[in-house]
Amino acid sequence: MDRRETARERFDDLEGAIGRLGNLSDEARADLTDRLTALRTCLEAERVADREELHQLGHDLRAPLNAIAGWAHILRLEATTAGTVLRAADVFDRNVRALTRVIDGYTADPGS
Amino acid sequence: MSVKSQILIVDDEEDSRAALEALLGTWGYATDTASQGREALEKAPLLRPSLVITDLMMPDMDGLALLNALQQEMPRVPVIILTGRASVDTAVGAMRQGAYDYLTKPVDLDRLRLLVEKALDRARTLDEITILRRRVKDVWGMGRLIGRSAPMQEVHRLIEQAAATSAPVLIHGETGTGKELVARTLHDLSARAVGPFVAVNCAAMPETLLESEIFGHERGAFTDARDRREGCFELAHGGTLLLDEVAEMAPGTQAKFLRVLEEGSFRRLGGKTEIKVDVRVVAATNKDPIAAMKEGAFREDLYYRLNVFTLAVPPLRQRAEDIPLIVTGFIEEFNGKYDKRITGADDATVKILMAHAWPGNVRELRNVVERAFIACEGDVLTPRYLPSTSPVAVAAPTAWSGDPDALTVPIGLPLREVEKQFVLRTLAAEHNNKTRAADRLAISTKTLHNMLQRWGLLGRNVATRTGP
Repeated sequence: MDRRETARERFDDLEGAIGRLGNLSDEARADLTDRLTALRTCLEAERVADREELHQLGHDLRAPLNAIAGWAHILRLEATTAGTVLRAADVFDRNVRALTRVIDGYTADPGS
Repeated sequence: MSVKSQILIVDDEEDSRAALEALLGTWGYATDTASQGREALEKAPLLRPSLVITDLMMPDMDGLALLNALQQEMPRVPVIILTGRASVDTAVGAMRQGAYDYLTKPVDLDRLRLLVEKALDRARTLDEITILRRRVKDVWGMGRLIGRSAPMQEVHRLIEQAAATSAPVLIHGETGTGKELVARTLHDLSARAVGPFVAVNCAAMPETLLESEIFGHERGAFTDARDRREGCFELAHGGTLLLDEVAEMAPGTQAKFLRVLEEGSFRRLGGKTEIKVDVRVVAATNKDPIAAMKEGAFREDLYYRLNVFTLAVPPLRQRAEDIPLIVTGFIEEFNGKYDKRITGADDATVKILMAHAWPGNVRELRNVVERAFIACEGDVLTPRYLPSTSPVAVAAPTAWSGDPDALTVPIGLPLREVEKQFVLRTLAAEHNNKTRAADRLAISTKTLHNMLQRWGLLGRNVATRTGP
């Protein structure tokens, strides 16, 4: 079970518990409900942002991998020249560095 | 010269773009690249790509916007989208907007190769369907280009010579001689055979419609132009365009046509973009091109531009020895078409057919043989199946541009048939003037009148061209 599902279950428990509180005034109940709705909206926005961030990460990783895969394929062709080998080496080098930057960006401690 | 399929690669990431360019090159395709969507849109009309492969996420214009714009500009060009986002909604969005397919990066190159082949195959089929839909006439109706006579051997020799080049060709010959078939054979023998063959008849439509047919039009170019339409020049890209009855084209259209021949580019009606095409042009006319030029019907500069190769298709009367072969070819074709088993035509029928002058040429011969074939109840065509006892009654002589005073009569032709042909040819030579014809034939007008009545031709203008 991932952490977002756990958070949602806890949120539902909390909503249920509030519903069972009998001696709350209508005003207090409405206030709590509004706060809960705002929290739910907040959680949903976070979920969408998480998903978008993951897609972006996928894209940032896949683009350099695509160049590497393409040039690896070219190197396997019979008619490959020394110039092509050097160019492929440059592509590998450049894209490995790009991948490293992407991974560093995503794994860096937010406080550092 | 072989015509390679042109593929436009669009990707803002240089390393991926270069890899794809190199790979497609090794797979035998011609390629061009663009690093942005807008650059691709500028290049596309000039390149006329057979396929576009584009990245999805690009800074100025993303792959979907490019796909949308390309579909407006060139709707039959397939687009393959490469995406770094492996999500279902992206894929569904691309396919819904009309992408041929999509692949997730890093691209499975074996799959890409297969997709490219399939997409190009589909594009070719769509092109072919569009061309076939636009063809008004049945190109194959005349059968293959049959003949072993000296004039036809010369035609074959010239076709082979012209097929090895991309130079324009001017074909001239009487109506029904098979000019379109000559053009089609020229195309089939050339390196452009894998490309389309598009034919347009310039005499069949008014000037504005013809220009729209040849050059295409943009939406709103004229009152009825509700949508953008590609013209024949664009449809024939990589192949051959036949402009039949070219001397019937209005002088203004001839001037535009000349410009395309000289510059290899044109604009659609109402369009601002210059479109570059690779088309071999074949023009055909049933007029004597030099005479048409002198009369002002055919622009002199256009004539000289087209006259790199001139091919004269002989009338059937100048190659009567080919008639038995042609008739056999038609019978084979009709056996398939009508599911019959007719083995051939007997000697008497062939003699009659060879004796006729055929002013409507092979087309007229075909009509006569087809009618006899349908009427035939046995397995051999005999003279009784020829319309009205002989084809001459159907195909009255005409004032064609050949030698109206000559009549070739083979040994063995029934005397009544000789008489009939002789009388009708004389009448045709006198432009249907019965008094003058009777004078030349040294018979009375009354006798001529009786003859025509006997043949069922009284009241018919035998000097009128009977070709369709």
